[in-house]
Amino acid sequence: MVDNITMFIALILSIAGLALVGTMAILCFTKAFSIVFLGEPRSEKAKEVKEDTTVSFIVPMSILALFTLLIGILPQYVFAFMLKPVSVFVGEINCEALQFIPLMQVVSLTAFVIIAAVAVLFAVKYVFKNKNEKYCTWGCGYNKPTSRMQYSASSYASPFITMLTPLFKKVVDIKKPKTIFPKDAHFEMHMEDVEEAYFLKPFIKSVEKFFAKFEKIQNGNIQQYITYGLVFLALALVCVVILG
Amino acid sequence: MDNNLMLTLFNILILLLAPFFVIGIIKKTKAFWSGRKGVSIFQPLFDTIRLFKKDRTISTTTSWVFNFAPAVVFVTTLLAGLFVPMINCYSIINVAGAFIIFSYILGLGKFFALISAMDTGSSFEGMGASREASFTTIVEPAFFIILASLVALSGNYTFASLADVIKSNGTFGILIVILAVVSLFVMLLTECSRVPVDDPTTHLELTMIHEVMILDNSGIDLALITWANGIKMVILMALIANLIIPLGIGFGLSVGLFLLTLVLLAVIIGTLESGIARLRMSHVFEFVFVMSSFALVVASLAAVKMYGI
Amino acid sequence: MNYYVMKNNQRINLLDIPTIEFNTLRAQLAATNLRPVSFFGSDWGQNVKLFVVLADDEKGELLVVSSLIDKNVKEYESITKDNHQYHMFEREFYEQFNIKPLGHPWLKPVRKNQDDYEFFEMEGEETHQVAVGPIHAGVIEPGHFRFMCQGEKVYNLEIMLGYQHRGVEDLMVKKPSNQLAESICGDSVIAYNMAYSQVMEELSGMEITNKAKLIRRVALEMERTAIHIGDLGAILGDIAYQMGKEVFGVTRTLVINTMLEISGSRFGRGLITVGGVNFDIDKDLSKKIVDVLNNVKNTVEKMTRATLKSSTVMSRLEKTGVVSNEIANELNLVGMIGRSCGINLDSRFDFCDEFYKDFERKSFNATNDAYSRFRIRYKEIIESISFVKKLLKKLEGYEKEDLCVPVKNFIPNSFALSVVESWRGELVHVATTDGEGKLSRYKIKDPSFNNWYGLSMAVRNNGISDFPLCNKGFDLSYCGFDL
Repeated sequence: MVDNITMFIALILSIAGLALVGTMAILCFTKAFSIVFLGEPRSEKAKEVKEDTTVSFIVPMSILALFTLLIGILPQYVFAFMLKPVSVFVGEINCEALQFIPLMQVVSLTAFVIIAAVAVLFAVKYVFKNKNEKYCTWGCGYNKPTSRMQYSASSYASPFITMLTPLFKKVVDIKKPKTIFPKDAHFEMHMEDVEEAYFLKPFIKSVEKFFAKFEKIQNGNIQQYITYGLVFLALALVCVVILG
Repeated sequence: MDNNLMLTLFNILILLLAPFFVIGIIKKTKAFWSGRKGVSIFQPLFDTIRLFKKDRTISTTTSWVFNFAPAVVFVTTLLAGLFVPMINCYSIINVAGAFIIFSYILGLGKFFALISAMDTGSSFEGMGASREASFTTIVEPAFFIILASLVALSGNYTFASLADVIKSNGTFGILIVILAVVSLFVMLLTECSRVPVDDPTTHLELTMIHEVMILDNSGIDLALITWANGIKMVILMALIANLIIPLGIGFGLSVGLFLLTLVLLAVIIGTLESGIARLRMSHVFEFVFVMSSFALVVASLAAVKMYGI
Repeated sequence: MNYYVMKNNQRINLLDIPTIEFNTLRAQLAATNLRPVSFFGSDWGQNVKLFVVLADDEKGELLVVSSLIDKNVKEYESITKDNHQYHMFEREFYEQFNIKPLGHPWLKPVRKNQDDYEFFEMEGEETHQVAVGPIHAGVIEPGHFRFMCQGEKVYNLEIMLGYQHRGVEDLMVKKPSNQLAESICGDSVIAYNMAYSQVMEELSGMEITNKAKLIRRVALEMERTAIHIGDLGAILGDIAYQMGKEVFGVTRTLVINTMLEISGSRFGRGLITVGGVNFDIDKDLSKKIVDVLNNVKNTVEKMTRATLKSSTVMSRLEKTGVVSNEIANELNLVGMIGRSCGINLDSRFDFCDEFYKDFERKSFNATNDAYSRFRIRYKEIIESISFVKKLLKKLEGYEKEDLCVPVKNFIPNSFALSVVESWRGELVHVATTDGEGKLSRYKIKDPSFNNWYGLSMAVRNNGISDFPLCNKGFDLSYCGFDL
């Protein structure tokens, strides 16, 4: 089915990459969505945030979101729609690609079934007419919970980041509690790309150092700049005289 | 088509009922190794029925996500199960590229489970969610690699590529099947939170992965989620069964072997849980990486078989 | 140096204890390197009398000194500033008498006023806090743990207790009884009851029979064996090693069922009384105990060997929850936890108990981690079983003696103390009587009082999922601390 080994390796790598991208997207968006919107407000500012948007903010974004959703639940139409402009570049689309139209129909069907089934199940939950009691989140019976007792964004991503240590440079500003009775401690971390930290930055630094040696030339002194101009003119005249 | 109708009914029955009995068998095995009689294998079924009748307690910190998620988790898991073949390579929905849509439907369920856990604003649940999300990044690519290799090997884009690997590929087939089965078993241990990845009987919230994400769910929500987790276990066991059981044997024998595989896998999980300790969290990541490495070996073996290096 | 030197289980005249001025006391304490075993205040007319008891483990002596503090003086210069071993004692003294130690680096509530407890916080948006307790998912005692974490790593742990504060010390002064002493800490019944009874007997000048003394020690060692076996099972249960948990659980039942045969209670309640013991161990029962313990010893040895061969278990236990020797010394960790960190204290041998003098004191190769805490329990189980057998052999010689001697009244103006090596470590009971022969102060120091802070230090820089293993490895008493 797959013609040669290069194609096979490409297949394997691309499919693994596809899966990795998908799972990283899950990790990234669950983190972003939950830290920003869910749980207790994580800072004073977050507690006092007020909505000051108008309809003109929300409608355009909703339209774009709707289109994204449509690509997801009606992919067969979007795919057929895209085949025309793509065929301008690639020539006639061969049968292999068209083989996946039924899959997309199934995807579309599945999406609708999921939405319908969830709606039904949701309705059934209310039909069950069980009492729903409201209480605070399980905090082990502690009577003074604070909003800091929630997971933070960096902690959420931390196991994954630990796996990818060779790809990032962690810049950590940490003061650990070391003594038996610590006085204070803090932690701050941000990530830098490896290329930026180990290649670009040193390169840029050395270039800067080299050019710093010429700082004296640019000292903001108007008289000196006029001198440069005069010197250049003199040199130019001399050259013209000698060569011309 | 009587045969197809029977197969469809069998698939649905296994999907809905087998989870309870598989968990019951695991518990019985653990009890056996502890020298106890253990609870009856019907107990998980009774527990779920009891949960359906209970009231719910909803945390004031949560939003619509928390209310919504259990339904999504259950529906997506059940739907993903419809794509999985059980006997005679028959799955209720049969389409090319099935393993991709199968994974992504489960991924949708997982997404909602994760945000539902973060919605409660509890650091325990956040801890469980972060661990769960990180394991997924290792497990999914490995799963895709295995299935892509099998697809390339058999030329069949559906889950039917899992069948008859041994018949068509001789010695390579045996090696590939062994490695793929071990990989899928590690995936089962990770996705369903069994030892050595997680201890399902522990009461210590700080060490849990899956159980702690559902700490605040109760009543019908909890029933749906536990049922869905059981269905996921049966689905993964069915994938392993498809690799082992050959095609072309009669209906009765296929059913028998399939059920035997489920029971055997449950007994193996129970024995493993009684005999080894749960690994330290940092070592669990290394353990799950076993799956990735085996997946790459499966891919190389498939390449060798196809292109004869 | 101005001290009164006394031995363990001795009564001295209260007025013989030297009373020195506080600053002199402070200088005296700073000059010595002996550790404190008791530091408490007692109402003394218009003032507060502070008693300090130091332990000289090498000589087996206890040094007592006191200082009178005017009630109107609301503060004094803290001793903890220079010597961290006093940190918990000074916090307790402040809470009980409201006299503030100036310059104390960690002055926080001990048992009361939990709403005023301010937790240490680590700055930074990236860190989060995990709050566990007081209600835990398992059936264990209430206590609040506050972790400062980033990701899976714990940078600091702070523990707040006091949920079971029952006012035991005040109750003991009003209505002392064996039943009260047994109920202070339900898993150290024999040790608490023994310490209480010894203090009461000292205060009354009673001399109990050798038979009673031997039976008490047999029960103490059996309690140690049973609890240690249970702990081994619990530690393995926390790392999901089911085989170990089940086997050790069953074996522990054998030991406590034997205790049931001796005293009618599996934990030994009602066995010890002021004046002696209530139940006898005759020849048949003695033989039965020895048989059961031999059986237990075989099972424990086999199971421990199998456990330590399992690489998954070892990878969890080794290098987890390390407490360095320096920190252990700085915090004055005692007992089994101290021994697992290289602090070789054992009050059975240090204070020259008349019966333990003949037993061999074995050394322990401490590695300061969870593995060390596992191994020391195993070592002490084997040792205790051999001690019980030897004590029972000695008991045969005292068959004709009485179980109990008649109870006498307290001698006025007395000071008595008793140090018992409970399975956790040194348990100290101190009592004083007033001029009329009534109890005026009763002070209890559980070994957990020293060791809780050690748990906070052990968890630092470990993964948060290793905390339950550390907690079970320490297995400290919540109610013994809360009193």
